[in-house]
Amino acid sequence: MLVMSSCTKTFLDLSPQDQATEAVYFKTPDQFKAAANDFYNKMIGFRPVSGSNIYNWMDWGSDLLNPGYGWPSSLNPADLYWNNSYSYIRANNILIGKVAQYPGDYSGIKQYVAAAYFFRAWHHFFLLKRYGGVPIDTIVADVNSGLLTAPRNSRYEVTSQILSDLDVAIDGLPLESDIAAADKGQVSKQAAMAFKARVELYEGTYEKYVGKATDGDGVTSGAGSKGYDAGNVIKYLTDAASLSQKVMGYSDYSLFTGVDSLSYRYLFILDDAASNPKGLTKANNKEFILSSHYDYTLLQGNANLTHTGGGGISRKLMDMFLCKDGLPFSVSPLAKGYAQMTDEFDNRESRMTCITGKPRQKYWGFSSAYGANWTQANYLTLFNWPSYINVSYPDLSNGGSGYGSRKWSSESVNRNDYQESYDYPQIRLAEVYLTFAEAKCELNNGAISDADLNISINKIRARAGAAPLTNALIAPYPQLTMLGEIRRERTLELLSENTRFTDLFRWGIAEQELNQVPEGMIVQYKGQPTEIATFTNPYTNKPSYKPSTYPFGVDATTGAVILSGPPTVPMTKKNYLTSIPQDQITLNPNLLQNPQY
Amino acid sequence: MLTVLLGSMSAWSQTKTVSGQVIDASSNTPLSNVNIIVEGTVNGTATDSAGKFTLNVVAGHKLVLSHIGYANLKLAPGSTNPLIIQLKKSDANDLGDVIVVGYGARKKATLTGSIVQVGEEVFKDRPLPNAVTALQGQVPGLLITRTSSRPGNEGLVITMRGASSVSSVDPLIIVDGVPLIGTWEFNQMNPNDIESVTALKDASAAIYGARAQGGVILVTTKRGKSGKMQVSFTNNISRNTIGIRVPWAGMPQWASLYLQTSTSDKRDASGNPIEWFPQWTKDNLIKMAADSSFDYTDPSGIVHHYADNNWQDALYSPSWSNQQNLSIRGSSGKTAYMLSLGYADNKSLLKTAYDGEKKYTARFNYDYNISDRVKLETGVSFDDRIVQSPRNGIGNGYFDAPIFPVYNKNGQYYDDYGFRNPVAFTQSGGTFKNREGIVRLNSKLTAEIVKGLKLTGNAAIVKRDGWNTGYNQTFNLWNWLGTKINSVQYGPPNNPAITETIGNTVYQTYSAQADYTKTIAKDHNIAAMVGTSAELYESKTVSATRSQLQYDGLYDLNTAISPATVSYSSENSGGSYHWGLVSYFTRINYDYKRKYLLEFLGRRDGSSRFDVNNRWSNFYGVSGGWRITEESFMQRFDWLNELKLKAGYGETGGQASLGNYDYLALIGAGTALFGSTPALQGTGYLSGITTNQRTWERMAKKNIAAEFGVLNNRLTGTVEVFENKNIGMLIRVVYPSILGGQAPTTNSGTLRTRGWELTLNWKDRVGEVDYNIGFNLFNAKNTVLSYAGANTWAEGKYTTPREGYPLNSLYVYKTDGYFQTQQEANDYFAKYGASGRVATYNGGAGATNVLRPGDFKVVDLDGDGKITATGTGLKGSGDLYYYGDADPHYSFGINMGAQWHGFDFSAFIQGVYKWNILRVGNARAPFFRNYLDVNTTYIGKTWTPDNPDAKYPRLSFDSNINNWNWQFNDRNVQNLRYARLKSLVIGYTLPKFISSKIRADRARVFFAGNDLFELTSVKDGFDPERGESADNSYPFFRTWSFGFNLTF
Repeated sequence: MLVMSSCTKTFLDLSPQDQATEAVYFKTPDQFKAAANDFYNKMIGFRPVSGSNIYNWMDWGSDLLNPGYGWPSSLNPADLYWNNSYSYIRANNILIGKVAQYPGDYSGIKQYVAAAYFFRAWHHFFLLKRYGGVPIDTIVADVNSGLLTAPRNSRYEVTSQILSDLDVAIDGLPLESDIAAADKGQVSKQAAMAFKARVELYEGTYEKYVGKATDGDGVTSGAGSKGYDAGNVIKYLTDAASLSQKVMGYSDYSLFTGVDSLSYRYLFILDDAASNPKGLTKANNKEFILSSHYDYTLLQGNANLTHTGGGGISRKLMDMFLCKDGLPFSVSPLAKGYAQMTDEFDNRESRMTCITGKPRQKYWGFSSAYGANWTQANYLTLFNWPSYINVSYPDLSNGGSGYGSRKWSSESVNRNDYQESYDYPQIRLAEVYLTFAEAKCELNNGAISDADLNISINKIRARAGAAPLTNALIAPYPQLTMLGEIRRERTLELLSENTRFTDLFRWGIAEQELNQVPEGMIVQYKGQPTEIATFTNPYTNKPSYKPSTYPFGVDATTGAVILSGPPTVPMTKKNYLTSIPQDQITLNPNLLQNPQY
Repeated sequence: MLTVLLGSMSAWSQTKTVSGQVIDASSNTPLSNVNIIVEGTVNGTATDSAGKFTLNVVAGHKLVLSHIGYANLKLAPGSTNPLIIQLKKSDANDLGDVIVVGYGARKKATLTGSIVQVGEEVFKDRPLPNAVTALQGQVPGLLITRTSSRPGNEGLVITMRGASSVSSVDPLIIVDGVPLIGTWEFNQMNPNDIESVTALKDASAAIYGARAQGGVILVTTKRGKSGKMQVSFTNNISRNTIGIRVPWAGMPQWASLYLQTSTSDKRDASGNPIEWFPQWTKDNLIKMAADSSFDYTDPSGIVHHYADNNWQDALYSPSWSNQQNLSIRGSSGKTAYMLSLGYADNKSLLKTAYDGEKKYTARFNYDYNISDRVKLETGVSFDDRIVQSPRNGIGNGYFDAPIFPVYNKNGQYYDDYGFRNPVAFTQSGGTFKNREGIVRLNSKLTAEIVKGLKLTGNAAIVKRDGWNTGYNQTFNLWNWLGTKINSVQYGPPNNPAITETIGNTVYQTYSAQADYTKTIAKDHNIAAMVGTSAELYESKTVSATRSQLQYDGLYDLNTAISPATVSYSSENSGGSYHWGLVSYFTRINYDYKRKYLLEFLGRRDGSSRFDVNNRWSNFYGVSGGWRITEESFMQRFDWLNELKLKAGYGETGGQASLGNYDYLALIGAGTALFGSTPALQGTGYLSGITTNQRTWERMAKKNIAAEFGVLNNRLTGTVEVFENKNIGMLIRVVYPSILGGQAPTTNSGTLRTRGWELTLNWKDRVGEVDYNIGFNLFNAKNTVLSYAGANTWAEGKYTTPREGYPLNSLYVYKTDGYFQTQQEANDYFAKYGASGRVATYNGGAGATNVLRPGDFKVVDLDGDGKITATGTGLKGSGDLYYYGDADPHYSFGINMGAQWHGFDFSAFIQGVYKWNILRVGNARAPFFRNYLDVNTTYIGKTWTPDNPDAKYPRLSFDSNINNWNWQFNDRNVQNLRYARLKSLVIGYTLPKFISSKIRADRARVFFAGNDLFELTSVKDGFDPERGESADNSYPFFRTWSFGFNLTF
């Protein structure tokens, strides 16, 4: 008997030697903190997480960047973003579920629990935008849980769950000023408020402009309209405006303006002091309210940002940029037309040249192993780089638009592909300004006071070097509306930050905007070939424009090269929501597919 | 040392020389290898292939002759010289050969299980890198596949009697009573040390209980033989030559094919072809097609040089391997010993860098009879293997169009596109070195307490040291004129990096057993055995990485720095785990007159891998046999020497897909970045969903067999039918993702494997030639009987189980010929293009993603107006149909041998009759990726308007089109049928008068070859054994070896 038991002990009672087990965890605030820390790694950012790819989230395939019908048009056999979201939510729920067994004082873990609520809302909102109503997940499910066979909740139920989770988060999270220096980057009360405003603006406008059109009946298709309340539009927009305004009132945040007219450019590639001409570092950026942190030494971005570039820019986007007088190119007296390749860049706001380089100037581009030496140039006006850097000329010999975005392209020393380590903005102050202005304008039936504009988006326009938006400015132009100009502002400011598709959807105008034929540079202007159409690149001795690469030719009206034909399968209202992944429907037939898939 | 030994052996006095021949008493055929010793001494010899022997005998001593299957004979040498000695076959009660079984040995004739044993002849003289390769095709039911012939990197997989579970299950391999710590360890052993290999294929494996799911292989090493000391030395020098080569194109062929393809993809608005050259210009291609080497200056001023280059020739060439073995065996008085030393240097074909293995093996088996009743057997072995290969670029070469030379005009690595040059990568990209050292110590004490009762105690310890070093080296590529290309391979700051991993394993096993045999009333024979064992396996790993190696030639963590200024901090990690098993086992045999046979096996296992409440399981096996030829009514059929029927049923366990601590929820740890001064903070998370409701997988094994011997046992054979059913398969039931993670595996699945085996052996003598020929054939097919209702499938080889179908099922589209006109293709698009798979081919004028004549017409099997890939089991879902499975079937082996005077010959052919695969990888088809080299198989066989019934679809540069035509269609399936001459040995034993001049008892020279020849149905030029992958240019090789054996 004795032999037996010692035998059992030696040979059979073997527990893990290199890992802790659940039985000993969630006993201290530090363990709750560690569990909450992991949530930050699950936001989609530069660095791939569970197979995510930042290029799926940069507005590519929209009407602005890499234009050409990039929405999901057919049935998804499976979707990792569905699977990932629910696995992240499970971790949030585990933390929340462990509170009941926590032996210590709740105040020690309150902020981590609040963070779990914040992220649970974050992932549900992600699902809402992508699929519409989805099953709400607030339990730690096991294989016998009813959740596994649950039908979809309607978008109204999901929204209300998100908002109530965010209320818990706002209550429990610390103010930005109370977050210790070592913990900066963790979610603050203000971030939760800003995020709640984002959700409310999204859902408020979606319900206003799209309404129940994508809901399905909930019996044969879609998530249905259970919980719909017509009063929510006003309620959400009102709350969005007031929450934004609250966040705008905190002195913890301010727009990044440290690099003059190129501030907008360097904000997105701010790394160490070598990343910009003023030697600024991430510490100088007070604009990001919540961001994914990266660091060259400790955690690189691991996305091929600089080399891949920010995508090709469409004719439409180029023409959207404002002139310095604050008016759009189409009406501004400052607009110079397109005859010379630099004409359209003259008298324009600075975001245009921050996002795409003006021709006939020199830029540090990728493939310089040495990075930028700011002492060799007056970077603001002359772009006076050394002789061994080539002057930049547009290229119309490859079927592209001729314009490229450099929004995420580094100029820094010692940065190779995948080493870029700027922070990825999840929520930034400029968006809060835009949310405020749009919500105000929506609430007032398209009107907004100059005062409200001045405390919000005119600050962004000031940074962009465009005159303020005022009621007087646009009054002479009946084709311009306040709402239209606020939307334009949002489109330009948040370009490539994953808002374009969902904005077009919630505004209910995705069909008309996305089904347009994408165009590039103008080669015919006022009956004459433009400069670029006949230009010979002095470095290659080849014509810059090769018409044979544009099989769809030139648009007779605009004179721009056409990048592709009209979509074979045009965008329709059904595409506002992607399909529920087919594999999930197979496993749970109670999940009804979105209408018309 | 040899001289000393030889000297001592010839020191005899008062002897006379006896010579003679030993023959079979009934057939008068000479018997070779008959052991002859002088009674009471260690002096002895064995007969040669002609049955002849010469021996010095001290006057007055008798000779003792022994031979397997024959009765021992004692005789005093008379005055006749030479002697003719007749040996009689052993009588029925002696029952012939002894076969090793679990925890013991049994007479072959009374076996009731499906047990096959092969002897040392399988390994003898062959220039083998390892023992597993030698077993390929030798044992019916044992399927061994490899994906390469690179020594140390063969990609060997062993399965017994088909699939046992969702994940592959290796057989349990036991060497001298002690399990291996991993199947790979078998490859470490010196094949020359192996006396026999026994496969327990059916319920007979149940004695190993929970570990016997995939069958059991028992390996017995050679021990001291009674008789005089025998010193044997074998040397083998081999030339490895390139076997089947994939017919990758040279530059002219490649370029003309490129030109030909250029008009295939684009059409203008009126339907006329537009040329399209995605990678190279037309002018250049025309020159390349003319096979001229030339310089080309591109618009940006860079000079390119184009010339024909066969990357295979630049990478591979024949190589030399050699193997040496020395063994000393013998016994004297109370001791017997076997000492073996081996060295092997097995190289592969890569000529740009070392790619191969070195093995150093030593084994010392020592037996000591403490008294008449107590015996101690010990064994010590040390196997050291170093496998070394380039860290980067292995198998590349197909990836690069054959159009630029290896070196530029300055002799530097030249690269013309995309930082690729396989010579540079293999030669300068670093090295991977894996060193495994295994020490095994075992000792066994046997005591016969009273007659019939034997106690045995066994203790063994195995210690494994694994040392793994991998490093990158930095190198540059250059353009033609010698400008460095602006990309450094494995350059700073993260490189050159070195990773060292050290893994240690200590494995202890202890067992004790009691054996009792008794015959009651003369006819009732009983044998019973009970035993217990305990095993403990402990493993620990440490791994560390640093970047920036400082010195060429010094590759150690200490010669690398990891500068804090860059993103690379030194990394290290550890890990350890352990598992244990406690078991009780028994075997009871009963037979009546050796005619009616019964066996019962039982085992109870307790495992550390389970929750304490689910820890113990019982396993068992019962089997019976009937030796029909022992019945008196059968005696008149004198042509029938043996006929036995046997059947068995048993249940064993399995631990496929079981982790060591699966029943516990573990906390994973990571980091997240925070802080105004960036710093990493710890993260913690539950690393999975767990259950404690789990237990062993359970294999129910059934077997029915017949054995026969006819025509004086010249023709023998077996026929076996079996069924293995995994009735508690651990499967990961797929739940909706809303669960939030993978569900734990549970014992919820059932997998059934059914098959049969056939063995035939013929042995005879014609004139002075002894010859034998043997044939075995085996097939198995599995079916997933239950898998939580899984009923989905997708394109290609679908490894996810589906109920009612085999694992690894092939699902393909049905094709109905090619589109012959553009109109036909357009109509097809109009009909099916709105959604589904065809929607991709929506390009208009000038686009390339358009279905055209020469593309396959895929049938809308479910008639829903679209072509869709996934099936859900519902009617009308998907257009794929089940084609068959992708496993090898009808695996066979053919053994042949003959002896004539001093000559001996043996050959072995192994093959597979049916093996359906879909080729995978970037090089699966011409221009599947339009920047790769192409396989010339397809030239002239692809669709063109002039060749509308071509074997293959049209050429295209568009990857969407190639995806449509070259994957997942029924027409893409091919059969990897083959028969390969695995081994050929031709030897000649020198006449005594020559061998005695070098004081050798026996001297033999031989030629041995591996993989010398094959017949195969593979259509696209790949080696049949490679399997489905196309992304590899590394050829299999043939081995031509010359060697000699010397025995003193």
